[in-house]
Amino acid sequence: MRGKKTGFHRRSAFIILFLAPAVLLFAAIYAYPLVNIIVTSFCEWNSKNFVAPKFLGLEHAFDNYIKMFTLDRNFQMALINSLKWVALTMVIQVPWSVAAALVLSKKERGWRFTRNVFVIPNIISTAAIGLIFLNLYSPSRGIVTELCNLIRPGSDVNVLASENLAFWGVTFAFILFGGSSCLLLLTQIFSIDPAIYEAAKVDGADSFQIDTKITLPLLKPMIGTVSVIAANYGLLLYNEVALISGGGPDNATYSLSYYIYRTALGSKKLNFARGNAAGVVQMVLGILLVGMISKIFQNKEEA
Amino acid sequence: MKRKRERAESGGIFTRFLRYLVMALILFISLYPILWVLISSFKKKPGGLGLPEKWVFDGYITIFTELDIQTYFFNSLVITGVSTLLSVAIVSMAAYVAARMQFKGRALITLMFSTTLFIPAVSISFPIYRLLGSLGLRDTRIGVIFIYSGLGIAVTYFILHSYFVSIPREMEEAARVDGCGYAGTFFRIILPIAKPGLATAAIMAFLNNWNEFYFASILLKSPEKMTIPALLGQFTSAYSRNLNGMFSAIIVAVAPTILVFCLLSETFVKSLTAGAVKG
Repeated sequence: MRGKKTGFHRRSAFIILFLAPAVLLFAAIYAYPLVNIIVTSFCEWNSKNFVAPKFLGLEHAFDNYIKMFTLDRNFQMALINSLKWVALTMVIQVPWSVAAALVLSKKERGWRFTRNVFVIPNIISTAAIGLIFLNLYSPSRGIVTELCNLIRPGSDVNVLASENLAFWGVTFAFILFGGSSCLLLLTQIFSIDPAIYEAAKVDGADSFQIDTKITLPLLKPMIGTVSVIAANYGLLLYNEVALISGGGPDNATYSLSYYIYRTALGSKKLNFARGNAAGVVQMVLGILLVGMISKIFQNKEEA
Repeated sequence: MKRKRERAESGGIFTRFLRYLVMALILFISLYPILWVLISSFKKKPGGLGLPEKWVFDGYITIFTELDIQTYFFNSLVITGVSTLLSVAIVSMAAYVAARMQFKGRALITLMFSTTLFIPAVSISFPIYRLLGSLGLRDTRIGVIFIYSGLGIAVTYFILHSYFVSIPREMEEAARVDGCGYAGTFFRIILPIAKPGLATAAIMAFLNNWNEFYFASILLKSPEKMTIPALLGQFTSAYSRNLNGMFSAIIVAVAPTILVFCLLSETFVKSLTAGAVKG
């Protein structure tokens, strides 16, 4: 009886001891900050009221959110840009990764090398990628201005100085780098039963028909996963913005992450509470996106 | 002579031409930006199209002698190495308990790790920044290690959890019969078996921490403590002074990752696909 009881205690002690470090880490790095941003997003806490957040009563609880959506031009721009980047990852990056995976799955000579090279931009630091594109766009040492001058002499395009072009400049620093997505899709394609393909070939299907009628439908769940990852990247974009355009010109390339950074940490006019409110908006958008994308890919699979 | 092909090439000349076109496009998109920087780094006046008229190595000499890029590599290595070890150790313990033992709140542990997937790092960065400030850990390597140990715990957890589940229970039962305690069973029996899973999780964590830019750039302000990505971030504000140095630094910063990837590409490919198989 006693032995059983100490055994039970030892078991509990072991479980608690092994879980404790992870739970503490979660509490410090995720739970506490999460609660903090939610609570302070309903308070006033800015450069005038530096020391501690102040709750101004229920009637002012949503001030940060209301001001962000109605008055804050930087936030509005950041929100629009981030949603545009989400849409662009879905329209450009995901289809491009799928096309690349379909092509590589045919195992033409050099497919493995190509696949590995495709992954390289995804595993080197985005800080390096950002710097590389910053230089590519520079009118004095880059190549974009030079190439445009070859096509239209004297055009002297300066990508990062133009409000329209700067957005695309940031976009093309990440949108075509679908290597890891391609890798996931490729792994999934290779796990498809070869007998299905044999049967299709016997029936006289050509490789285009096999891709569209067999591979793509079977690939749908993984395309869903890849879409979630890509959309999330678009929504959270920070490094490319910070390193290439600095949000500029003016606020033309602000992303939500960059707005949060500038508002809470990196400018002269700080507004911690509003930065945190933007963080809450970003998180909610992320959850909504994941839900929507999963739903789209689930339904089509069932139908 | 060649690896066995599971599926023979098929399709007409035109289809195959299209495939090679796409492959060429992939190679161009992925390699050109890096090759452009590499070639430019040897030019007296970096940038532009074409090859250098005269090959210059000044940039590489200055970053090792004046910029002391070794210091940043050392910082990156220490911060990334320690945080990877810590997070794999901490998460493997929790993942093992959650995978193998019955207790109240077991589902809560998995839920806890899953929620971190929905909390963007930047959105919670201000409280983290303040927390490190009040702990006196801002602008310290320990502070960054602390943050990196926690970022990405979800992926580590799911990789390890699924690995532990796949280990046959007889292993533990045999160990228990031999008088091994719970902790003894974990450290002496389970961990050695789980090495491939641990390696996969560690590679992912190492890669992410090695490249992490945001927290490194907001937390580390003294140059002697900066990681490689934080150093690269400095170039945007001070870049016009030494162009050769900047181009060479980019190359030196990405070279180790590319080199290791070339040597271990199959291991990397497996690791990169391991996280999403479950999720």
